[in-house]
Amino acid sequence: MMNCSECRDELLLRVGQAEPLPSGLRDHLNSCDECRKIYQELKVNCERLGNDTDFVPDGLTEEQFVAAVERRIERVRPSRVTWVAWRRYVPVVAAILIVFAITLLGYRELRIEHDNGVVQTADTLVSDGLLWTLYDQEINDFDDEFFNLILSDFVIDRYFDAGEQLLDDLSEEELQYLQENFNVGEIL
Amino acid sequence: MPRPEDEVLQELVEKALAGDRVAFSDIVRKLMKPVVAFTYRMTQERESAVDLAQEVFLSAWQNLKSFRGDSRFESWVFAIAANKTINFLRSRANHPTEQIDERQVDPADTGNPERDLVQKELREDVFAFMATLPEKQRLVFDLRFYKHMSFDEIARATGKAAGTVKTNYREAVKKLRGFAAAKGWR
Repeated sequence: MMNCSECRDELLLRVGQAEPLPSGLRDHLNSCDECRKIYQELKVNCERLGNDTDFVPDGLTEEQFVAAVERRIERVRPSRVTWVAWRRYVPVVAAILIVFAITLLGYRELRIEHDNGVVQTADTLVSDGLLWTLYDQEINDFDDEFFNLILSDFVIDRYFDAGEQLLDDLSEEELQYLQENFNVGEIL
Repeated sequence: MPRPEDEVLQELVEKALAGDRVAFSDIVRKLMKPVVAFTYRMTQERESAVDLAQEVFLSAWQNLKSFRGDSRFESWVFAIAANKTINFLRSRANHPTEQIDERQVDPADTGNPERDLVQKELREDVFAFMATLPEKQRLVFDLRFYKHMSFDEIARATGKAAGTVKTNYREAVKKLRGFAAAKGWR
């Protein structure tokens, strides 16, 4: 059973609300004159205070108010709304751009390093004159079409993967042909 | 079970979320009176109350997408109203020269002079009582007493613990007893 102190605490929280009082509180009010008197008093006070719930300033019309809100919405729409909407994405976009830039720079570095290596390999081959010797001296022993193919592959890729790609691009049959007729290891 | 007016409001909110400005204007029409009444009781200034209420709806439109539907739309709007009002009251407290000391209670206009007088007295009593409450108690009292928001809803709206909200309400009702006794309400 609720005591007077608990009952008055509950009353203070529940008074003025539409929900019915809980049974424990009702039971106490039925059995306690003092608490019932406080309840009645609070009820009267709240009824008086809550008599005119939604009074608004005199002369304020619905249409005027709605029109004023619409004007405010119109005024801020072009600039503030757009910026507010996009502002939250700025850190994400910045992070993506930074990651992309770092990746691109790293890739460029690697590519330059790789290309320098390939150019050196190709230049060594050229400076050794091996391929040109091959071209000058042995050309007559080749089928023209096949040799031109090998040579064009080399020229196209000269400054890239020259030596390796030259061998990679050959079929097994072509490679065997080359190995039987030339010193492939020396060329590369 | 949702009330019929809540269902109508929910339909309007869904349309407004899809960008329907006419539906949003209908929402403003439906909620205008309770929102203005709230800001009016809180600020007790006609111009500030109307201006604040318009700000509330502007903010509601701008942040409509953040309404997740886990509370009543009306409560969500009152959460905005509560924040705007608190900021306004703080700013007014920091700039006392801008404060309007005279309360402007408009007379009611029911067409019945006797009833209008009674209504005017009631409104003056409401304003006078609200003026006795500190800012936080006034806010909690209004949201609970006039808007019938639950303590949990008020706690969410104001960012306070539910226990603190209950204490504020209890204190406000105690003061109401004292106010009523001083006024001789029976």
